[in-house]
Amino acid sequence: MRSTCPSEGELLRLVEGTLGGSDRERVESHVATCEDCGARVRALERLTEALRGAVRGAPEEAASCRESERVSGYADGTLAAGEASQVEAHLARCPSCSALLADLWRSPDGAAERGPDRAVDRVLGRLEREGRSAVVRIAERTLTVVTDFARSGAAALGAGLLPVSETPLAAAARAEPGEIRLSWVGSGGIALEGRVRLREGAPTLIARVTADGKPARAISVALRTPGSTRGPESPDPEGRIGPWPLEIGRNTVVLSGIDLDGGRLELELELVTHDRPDGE
Amino acid sequence: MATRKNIDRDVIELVERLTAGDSDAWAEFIERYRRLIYSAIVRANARFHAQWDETTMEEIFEEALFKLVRRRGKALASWKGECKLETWIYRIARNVCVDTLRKQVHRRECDEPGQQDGEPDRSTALSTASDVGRRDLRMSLDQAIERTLSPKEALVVRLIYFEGFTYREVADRLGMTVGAMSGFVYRALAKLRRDGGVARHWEER
Ligand SMILES: [Zn+2]
Ligand SMILES: [Zn+2]
Repeated sequence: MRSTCPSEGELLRLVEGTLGGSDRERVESHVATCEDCGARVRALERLTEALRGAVRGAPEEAASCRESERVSGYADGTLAAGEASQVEAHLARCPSCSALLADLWRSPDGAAERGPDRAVDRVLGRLEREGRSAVVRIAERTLTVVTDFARSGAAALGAGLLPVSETPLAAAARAEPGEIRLSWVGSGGIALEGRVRLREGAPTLIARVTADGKPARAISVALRTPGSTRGPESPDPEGRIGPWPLEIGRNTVVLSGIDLDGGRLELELELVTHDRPDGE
Repeated sequence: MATRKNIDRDVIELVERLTAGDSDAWAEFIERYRRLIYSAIVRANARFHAQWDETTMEEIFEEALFKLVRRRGKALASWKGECKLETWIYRIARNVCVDTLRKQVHRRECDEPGQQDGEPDRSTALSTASDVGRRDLRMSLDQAIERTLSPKEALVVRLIYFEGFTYREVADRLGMTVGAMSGFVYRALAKLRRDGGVARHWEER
């Protein structure tokens, strides 16, 4: 190939007729003058035609013929008389469309071909749970992580100020110098990893929301503190939100959106912060 | 719904009930279309040489069904009545099959990294008798694809040439650009062309 020759992909797209406007003109005029590319294009034409021709004639195939749209109309009996007879003529020639028609007519025999009942039962069960999910998920809001730290921050943390988790969920919180880590894994593949940073007296929350390990951008996050409300906001492309300042008292992180099972997710996580008792 | 003018009333009603959250409509929808969905999977299994066992087919079937009816049939909102609902459902089921194949291809290529660019094995010559019917031509092309191409190339070539997918559809499903996809297909076709049996086939025609 010469350096001015079009790329292999462009030659193929010329043959397939999917190259647009000026690209097509450029490649066409090159092919007209370049023997190598001309030969490549002719070879591609023969091969792609052989491939497509093979499937057009194969009796066991379906749904690749352009007529297949009208065949489904024919199956439903919604075509005008003239159109219906055209389709009938086509069906006589085209095994692919006849096979599709057989599928579309859904003959009632043969339990196996209806697909296993077990799978249908599981789907119905999943749909049931999905329908109830709003209720179920709200019941999970009991996750309350009580963090007992002083406003004065990092220095106080080592001294027995471990957060207490009062929750039946898989929630864990642990303290590290200068911050408290939270992690919560919920149903529907949604997880929240967060940190409460204790710096300069004012705790701040940074969190990352994920769905099956990937940033969960369909979930929006809001924070209600005793004095104000932040959000709801969509997480950034990495799934992060914050830093948001927390206040002493009850801080509620509200997650809402659609989870991976398609259920509606409404979830509140409470972070209760206390002032450290005097004199410690 | 205004564009769904040539569609049967009862189909439109069923879809409307489903999207309005009528839970009886789920079972009705599934009962009505399960045969069509399962047959799309059976066909894909045969056509792509996927070698799915019954458990896998059952899983695909479950995914396809759930995908259609979940979230109050939200997926059905993208059906505008430009084609029959059957055609549209068939496509959705086929796409779930393609997604399964894509993952399967990925696993196979990770398991057998040496296989991808191997020289074609020419020991099993294709039948080239000039009187082979189209069915035989399809079978020998199928064999050549299986023998000569990597699993991913085989999947892409079958999608485009046997299943009528557009380049853009395949590129989107496999997470490639159309440009990269067409180069990829070119190289796959070039491999097929070098396969002696295939070449003889179309030189003779
Ligand atoms: Zn050239
Ligand atoms: Zn046809």
